[in-house]
Amino acid sequence: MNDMKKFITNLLLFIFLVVALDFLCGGIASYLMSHAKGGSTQNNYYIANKMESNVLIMGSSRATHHYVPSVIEDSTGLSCYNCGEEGNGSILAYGRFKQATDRYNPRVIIYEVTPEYDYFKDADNSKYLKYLKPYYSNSHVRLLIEKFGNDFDNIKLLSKMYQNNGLFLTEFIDNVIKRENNGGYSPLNGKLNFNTNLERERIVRDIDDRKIELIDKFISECKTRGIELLFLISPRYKTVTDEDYFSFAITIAKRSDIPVYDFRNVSDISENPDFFNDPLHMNNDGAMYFTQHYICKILKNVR
Amino acid sequence: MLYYKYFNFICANISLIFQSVGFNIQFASNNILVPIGLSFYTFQALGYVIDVYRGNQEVEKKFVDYFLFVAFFPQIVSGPISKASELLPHIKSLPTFDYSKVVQGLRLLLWGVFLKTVIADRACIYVDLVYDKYESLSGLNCVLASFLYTIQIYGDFAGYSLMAVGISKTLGFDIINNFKRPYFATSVTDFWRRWHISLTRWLTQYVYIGLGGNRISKGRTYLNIMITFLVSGLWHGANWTFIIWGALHGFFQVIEKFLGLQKSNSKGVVKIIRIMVVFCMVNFAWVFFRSDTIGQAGGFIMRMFTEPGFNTEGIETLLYFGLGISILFAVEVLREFYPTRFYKLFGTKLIRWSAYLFITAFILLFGVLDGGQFIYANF
Repeated sequence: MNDMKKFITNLLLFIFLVVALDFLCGGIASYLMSHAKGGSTQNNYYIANKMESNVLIMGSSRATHHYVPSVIEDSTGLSCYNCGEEGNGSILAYGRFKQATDRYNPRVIIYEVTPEYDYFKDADNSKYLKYLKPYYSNSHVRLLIEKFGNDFDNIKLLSKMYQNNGLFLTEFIDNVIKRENNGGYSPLNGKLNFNTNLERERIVRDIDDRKIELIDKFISECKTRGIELLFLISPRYKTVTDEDYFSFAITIAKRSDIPVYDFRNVSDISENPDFFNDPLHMNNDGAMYFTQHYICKILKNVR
Repeated sequence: MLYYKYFNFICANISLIFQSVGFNIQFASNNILVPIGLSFYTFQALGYVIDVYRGNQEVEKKFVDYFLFVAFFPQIVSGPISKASELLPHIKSLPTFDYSKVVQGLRLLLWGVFLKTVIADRACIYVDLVYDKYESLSGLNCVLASFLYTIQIYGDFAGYSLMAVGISKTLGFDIINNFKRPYFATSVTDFWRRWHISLTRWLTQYVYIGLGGNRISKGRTYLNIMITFLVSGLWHGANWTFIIWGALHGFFQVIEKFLGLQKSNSKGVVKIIRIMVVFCMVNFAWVFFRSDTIGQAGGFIMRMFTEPGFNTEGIETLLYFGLGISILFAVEVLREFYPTRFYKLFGTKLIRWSAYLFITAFILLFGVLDGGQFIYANF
């Protein structure tokens, strides 16, 4: 009995110390997030707490690498921020949209459509919640996590350490190393490697109805707030096969009366290998050209 | 086990043989789900039957006790493979609460979770990234991925084993520990005394010794080693890659025995060199274990040696992995080379508790916690 008593006492003490440590680490993480000098920590924090740009770019890596905010700002006079994120789509975009609209209404949102992440079925959607978890205290973020997270996430995320799981080291590094933030734009500087196979086939997969619901909600809220929402498909290199890949996205846009701009096959870009880092992503030269010659024109018309 | 695990493999290879002589014969494949842990509890049950046959174990008359022995939950998925003489006595006696056992068990459980979530699952992200597109990545990426897989499989399997041993201990059951710092082995023979110890024991007692062991001619001993490790390879999976992996380990051990290198009293720099050489040999063999086909393994190995440069994709994962592996390396070095100092250090309550809190925090901050899979659960 004494052994059992000793065990329970020590167990309770251990749990208490873990909880205390959790609060301490949470405090450190908060400090690191709000004092980051660059990188994804600073980017994430800025979007969640400070950003008030007129034009927002949202979507996957094709958003973050293809749209240059400084070009848009110089050309149109509208402030611009690129909220795109590698390997992410509608779930993170909606989360960032809600974080932003808690403070203000942007005038225009350019949404770079990537069905892979926007509405195709995934075995595990929790990977899209990585950058939202530190902001679990936000009610919109909590709702998204309830909908798309794993079982017991609502219990696990009571832990501040778990909220920063997989981000803590990055948060620390981003406080030590200053990195340039180009308005959220992340330039690629490579060129196509003709020694490798450049053909890519983008295959249509099953659709996740919950993500479609989310996209419909996103569209509806933009309309309610008077935000001009544009769906965009930016160029890719001519060796990519994607005839039916975007069909459903175009259907969604048309039924909701959202303009769709499909620049997949604009020959001055898609046939120019110097504009591409890889078949699916333009490099900085391509992004600058695309933003100047196509995006700025659209925005001027929208104004 | 033959039906669930090897039926499709056997049929596919028979078809290939017939096709090579001009007969196009195809067998219908079975699409039945393989029961989880099949290989483990099959060997555990087989071991019991053989021990009873040999007179080393009394027949267990109570079916419930026998059933619990075969289906003991901490070890049913991925071992360790227990002997009846180890587990049945525990099952037959009612365990009482033992404070030190419970604490030891929880300690092992915590370290097992660390190995799995911080080491194995983190390494897995980079390994999968590189193996999925190694043809467009550089040789150094492939070398790194092969190294990370070597650590991943250790973290995954040793992590699971420690969790199984830890949970068993908290319930009052002592089961065999499956790992003893295998990557500090000074020969491949030594490696198999430290890696998956329960499987090595099973294969030694029921295959190698059954074939005559080393009590016959040298040539026959070498053959017995090769057969034992081919069986080991086949046990791991129904694919030629596993068979080649097993054959490589058998071959390395035959060469060691031939050259008299299997035992080692070396110290200092020689010992370190031996450890590194054995690590490289084992690392090389793991490429076959990880690959889906022999072609992929061959292509991957070629790329390691022919493609210069380094692609920075996955660099963040490597940084996180680097943190975890530093802790693992420090602990393993202490336990292997300075065990007295290790136990003296962790004999202090303050150090022990600090370590528990540090590891817990590390798991929560740096572990991959969104539901990974255990590699050995596939066997």
